Amino acid sequence: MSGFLKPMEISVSGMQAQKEKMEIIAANVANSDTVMTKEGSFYKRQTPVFESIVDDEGKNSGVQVKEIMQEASNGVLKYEPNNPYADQKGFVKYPEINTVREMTDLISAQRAYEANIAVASSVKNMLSKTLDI
Amino acid sequence: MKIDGINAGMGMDISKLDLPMDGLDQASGLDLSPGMSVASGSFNAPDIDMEGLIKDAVKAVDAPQQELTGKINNFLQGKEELHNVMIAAEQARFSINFTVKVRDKIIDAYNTVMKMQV
Amino acid sequence: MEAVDKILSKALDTIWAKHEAIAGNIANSDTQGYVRQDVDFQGQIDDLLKNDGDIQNWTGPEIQQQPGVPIKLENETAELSENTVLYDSVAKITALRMQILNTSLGTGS
Repeated sequence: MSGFLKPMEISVSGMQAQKEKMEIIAANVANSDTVMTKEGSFYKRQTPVFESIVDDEGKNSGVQVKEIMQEASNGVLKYEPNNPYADQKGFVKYPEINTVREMTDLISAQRAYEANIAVASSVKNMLSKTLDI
Repeated sequence: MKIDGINAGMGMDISKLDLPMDGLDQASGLDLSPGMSVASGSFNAPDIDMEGLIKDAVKAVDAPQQELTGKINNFLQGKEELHNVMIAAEQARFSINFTVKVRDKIIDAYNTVMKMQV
Repeated sequence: MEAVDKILSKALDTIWAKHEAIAGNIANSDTQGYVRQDVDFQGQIDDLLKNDGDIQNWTGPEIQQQPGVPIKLENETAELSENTVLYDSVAKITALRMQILNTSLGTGS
């Protein structure tokens, strides 16, 4: 038993990671109509890449967001000749973001977040029973 | 088992107590059957087999302990219900508490008798 | 300290190790390439019983890797609940057993 509170540590890392994922999803939804970003192109959908954390003894210690990936995309063309960002043919490129898909991802992140909370609760419960020994 | 001394020491005639003797027999493992000599008033030198009593007491506690250990092992293998383990634990606890109390009473009585001036 | 006490204490270690494994599975439910981990409680108990609680070179409960087994949150949360109850039960049994030992030694209150 490497750490008395290891499961707690692990679940907290899980909560943190899922929270970051939810923030990224929120950014995707908020930017679903952003045709021009600082980088000079339309907003590209972002997804978190998770990786597991391992401690010095090689035992699993939870999870973290390794990086935030931008999805390659050609955008969705819409004909808007009056848009300042329109190209010569009058087309504007919009982000390829499907709100329904983002919602589904959000729900799944929420479920995972709650499952991590369940782990933390169970550890608290077990700790109090241990003190009775 | 002659318990004149015990009666004298405890200040009472235990055969007159309204105790559920069968239950006590079982739980304590001691033979408390009424076939014992209870002539109060006549005082003989205490004829108590202390070693025997204590051995009996130890044996009495051992059986429920073994029972409990068996149930614990079975529970860990998924072959026994938790409530049965809890009950066995309480029985073991009861029997040891009871035996300790009986033992203490007997020892007290013995000591009291031994201190008596003849 | 009898065999049963050694077994109870190692059983608690094993259940705790399983809890760590489940926690790791849940935290990594979205991690690509993560291999599901588990602890075979029954197997560990069988081993312990065979050896009266004394296993040579015991370095702790064995954690199994299960490549190819997908992590499903519903399953993991079910395992979590079950494992919590198991821990609570064994902890309680250990507590009662300690009380009994204390009483018999006259070291209890």
